[in-house]
Parts: sequence; C-alpha cells; structure tokens
Amino acid sequence: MTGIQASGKSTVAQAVAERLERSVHVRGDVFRRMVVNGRVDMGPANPPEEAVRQLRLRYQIAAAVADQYASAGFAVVLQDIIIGIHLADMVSAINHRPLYVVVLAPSAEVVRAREDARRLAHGKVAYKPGDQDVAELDASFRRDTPRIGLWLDTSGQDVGQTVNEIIARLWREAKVT
Amino acid sequence: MTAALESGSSDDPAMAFLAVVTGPPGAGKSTVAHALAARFDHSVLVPGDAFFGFLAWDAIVPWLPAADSQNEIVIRAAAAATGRFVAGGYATVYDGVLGPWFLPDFAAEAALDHLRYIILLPSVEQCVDRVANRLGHGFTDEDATRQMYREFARADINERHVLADLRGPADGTAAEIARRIQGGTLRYP
Repeated sequence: MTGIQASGKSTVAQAVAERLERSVHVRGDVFRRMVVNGRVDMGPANPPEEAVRQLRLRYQIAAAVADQYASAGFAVVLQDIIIGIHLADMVSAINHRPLYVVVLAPSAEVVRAREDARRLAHGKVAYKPGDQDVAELDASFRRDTPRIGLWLDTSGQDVGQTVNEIIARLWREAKVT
Repeated sequence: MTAALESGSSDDPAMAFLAVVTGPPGAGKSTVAHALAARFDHSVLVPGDAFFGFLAWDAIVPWLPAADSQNEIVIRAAAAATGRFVAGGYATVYDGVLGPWFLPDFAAEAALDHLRYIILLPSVEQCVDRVANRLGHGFTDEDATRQMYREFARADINERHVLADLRGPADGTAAEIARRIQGGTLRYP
C-alpha cells in the first residue's frame, strides 16, 4: 500500500490488516528509523545519493520481511511511501505472489487539510520546510508513478469506507504480476 | 577503541558486522544495544520487538509455549531484515531475546557466516527488579522473566559470550562489548 505522506496509509493499512485473518502490517518506515548513525533522509526535491541508497535498502528490507511473513502463511499488508520508479522496483523485490498493489491517492487539498489537522492534534509534521510542498509532491507522484494496481481517490471517504472499498475490489482489481 | 573500529563506513562493507545483544527481560539489552550502535559511524539498531509489533491479528503472547511457531516466523523475518542491513554496510546491532539454540537458523536466514553474540546476564533479582519497575514497557511478567532467565543461564554456550557484571553505566558496557567485538572473542560460530 502506497501513497504520499499523510495520504492515510498507516491508518488504512492497519485497518485492512485487522480485517484479514492471521495478518501482519509491515511499516516500511520502521526500517528507516532503525539507522542510528549515518542516516540520510529523503526530503528535498533532489535528494543526495546516499539518501536514495538508504531508501532502496529500506525497500529491499521491507520486501524481504513481507516475503518471510507471507511464506509462513500470513496475510501481509506492506505500507510505505513508494512512488515513481520505486514502485516497479518494489513489485520486483517482492517474491511472493499473489501480490496486490493499492495506491491511496486523495486530492492534494485533502492531504494538506489532513496534515494541518495532524499538526494541530499531535504536532506531527510530515512536510517539513525544505521538502516539496504537498501540491508539488502530489503532482510528481501522479506523473511518475506507474499505473499499476488499484488507485483510489479517497478524498471523500472515511477510513471505514476506504477499507470496505479496498476489501471489495482488491482481489479482482489490484493484482499485479 | 581504535580508529579502525569506529570508522564502520558504508563505503567499506568489510567493516559491517552483526552483533546480537540478548539476555532475559530486564537484563538491560535495549540500553546497551543502543549505546553500542551509537559507537559506530554507520550503524543500525534492530529492535526484535518491532517484528512482533507487525502482527496485526492472532498474535500469541511470545513467551507462552503455544507461541513457538509464531516466534520462529517472527524471528526469521527479523533475521532477514538484519542480514540486509549488514549487507548494506552497517554496523548492525540486534536487540532481542534470542537464545543460542536459535543462532544457526538466525545466521542462515540473515545470510551471514558468522555474527557476534553477547548475552547480558546480571543476577536474576536485578532482572526481576528492573522488569517490575520500568515504565512504558508492555512486559511485566515476573514468572516469565525467571523462566527466560533460567533458559539463558542453562544455555549451552561458551562463557566468553556471557557478560554478567553490568553494574556500571551502559556506555561502559557498550565499550567493553566493542572491545570484545574487535578482539574477536564474541564471534559465533
């Protein structure tokens, strides 16, 4: 499950996992935060090479962990910000099939509103000064990400509606090879 | 501490290693593991608990016998992730309950020929006391603590892997472990 920051991935992924039996929710961001010294994060429009290297490593690790749980019979929801060419790379990095891709694509206005609400409620900020702003990131995300899997405009939905739609459409419409 | 040990660089995969810091609950694993990882330039701390945290449903409390097969799955996933950090060039510290009986499988799943293994084993009363008094941690089961302590104390492992004197600050313990990593005495197998 992918989407830009504050697109609702974490909440929706957890809710989908809870609807499935014997399920796992692998949060890719966890592997970024495991780096203690030498961490270089993505963020600016032109990230340093080391940031991209660390991003790729994080995706490979998330894919390996998802494969481990899947091969042991778990339904796995792997959730991370995987945009542009990285989405195709991730699909190849995951060995397990069947594989389903869900892209959460609420409108940039909804993402910005969610981000503002989040900032007021918890002080949690996905978009820091210097990062691409929401509109810019949303545009490049829509322009550069391959159209695979199930793309959902979740703008008008609450979490329950999004989860219901995913469960209803996943098996037929989200499958990738 | 020599410069060579501290310059664990992502440009030099030869400097990458895996150190497993384990022991019963309350032994001080997390504090020491973090202090150890912080000593290296390019370092990763893998908390084993994160992989149990991924379980969204049907999770069995990991210290119950019924959880054995679930634990094995979770630890294999942790090993796969850990091995990739090492392959990516990081000084990698794994913090979690990992008995010596699981080491061969863990190393194989991590695709590593060898690793560094350290069991923190202060007195059982110290462990029990710390488990009872720490805040913000889900695990508070004294019987399970004593049970896991016995398993580590009885484990079939050379005593060079066991650190029992943990009265000093975590930084000092981490420095001692780093010295032993460099000296090769923690190497397994």
